[in-house]
Amino acid sequence: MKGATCTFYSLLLLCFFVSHTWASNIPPRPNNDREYISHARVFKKWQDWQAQAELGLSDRKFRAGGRKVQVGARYQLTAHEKIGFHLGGQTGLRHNTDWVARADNPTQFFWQDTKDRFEGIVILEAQTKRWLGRSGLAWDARVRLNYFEHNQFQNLQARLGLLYPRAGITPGIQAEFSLPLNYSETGLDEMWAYGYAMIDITKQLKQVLKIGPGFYRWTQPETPGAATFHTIYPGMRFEIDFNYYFK
Amino acid sequence: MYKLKNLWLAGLFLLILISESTAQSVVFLRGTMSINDAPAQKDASLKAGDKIKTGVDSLAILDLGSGSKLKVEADTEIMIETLDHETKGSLYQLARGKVVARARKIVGQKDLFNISTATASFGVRGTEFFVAVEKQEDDLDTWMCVNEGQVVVKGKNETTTKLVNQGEGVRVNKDGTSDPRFLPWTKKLNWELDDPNAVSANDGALKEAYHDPLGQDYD
Repeated sequence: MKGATCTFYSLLLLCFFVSHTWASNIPPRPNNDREYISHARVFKKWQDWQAQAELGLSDRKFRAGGRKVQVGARYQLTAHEKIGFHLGGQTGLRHNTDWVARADNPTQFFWQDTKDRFEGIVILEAQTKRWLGRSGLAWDARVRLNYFEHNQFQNLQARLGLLYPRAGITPGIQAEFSLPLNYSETGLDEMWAYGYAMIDITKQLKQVLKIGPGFYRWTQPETPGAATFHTIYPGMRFEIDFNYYFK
Repeated sequence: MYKLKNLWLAGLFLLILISESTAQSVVFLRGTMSINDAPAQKDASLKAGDKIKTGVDSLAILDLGSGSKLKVEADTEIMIETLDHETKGSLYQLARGKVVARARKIVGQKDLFNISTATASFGVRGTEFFVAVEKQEDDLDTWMCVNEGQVVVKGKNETTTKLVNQGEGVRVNKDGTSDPRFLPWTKKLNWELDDPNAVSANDGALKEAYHDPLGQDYD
């Protein structure tokens, strides 16, 4: 009996060490999956052009995040179709390549501190909005090509939405997908589904509230001879924005 | 004798039918209206050349004959240039205000029902539509939307026409005619022309016309 108990605990200990070693190269799930994001934006139209600027704060848990500033312009091709170009800079964002092995112990991994790391972003985009017959509902779609200056990562951000534009408050739903172009073997590394409302505080000042679940997919950076591994990190996002539209 | 009497009665009946189908008159009036600057009442007859004006908070429905009707909203001025739906065609000149028009569908015929404003002309192909003239600073805007059927629109300074289908609308001004599209504010229009209890004015119709809900980005 004593022998069996000893064997049992030895096996248990072995399992612990094996699992711990196996999991050490995979980032841990954050303690708290709730993310908080906020933006302050301004918009100004001149004929077919629209200039815009935004400041952002984010706490994206798995992707960390911090502060963001972005300026850009959109050109109106038709009544509801636009193309855009934006330049931005942000601090704190984590990429897959920020999960690194310790120099003194390559079997142990950690997240590099990105809190004060500034990186530039270049964004190209195209968007369209259409009414759904005479229902009063409309759908919109936007595609963005993002380029992250820090590690030359590129991704496509696609977003589809359904909204019900009304005076006072416009409710809607959105699905957003992030498709890595040059840094992951998976086809999708982020996805979110939101419910949102745009509220008219005044004719020129509006508030946007968004809430919804989503996930990040982390993939092990490519290592020659190593197996590709990826795992999902769920999250719940809360976003509050203020938009001001100059006359 | 019996056959002659029946023939006479049939002829009289046909005459009544023809006269009823071509009679043009005011069939509904709320508030005040004038015809050629003289106060007019319900059942007043109409003819080519008449200039009709409605007062503030007023509403009139005109029976134009041959199944066509026109709802003339408050503070509106419209002139009947010609009144002949069957052969030459009818032409109405809307100087200001709003109207809802229903034109009888005539299979195989060209556009015999036309409404013209300072900036556009609309040829109707058996339909129900709304036209409004709105002053914008020093210019005039004409808004038109189609409830049933199709309307051909041509800006006064344009050489080509655009076809506006059911559920679509356009804005016409000195810059031209916009592309036909769904205008969300038109969902709230009152299209009733027959039931006096259901008829109501479209006074605030254009308040939302100049705001495009999809024109504003939220991020």
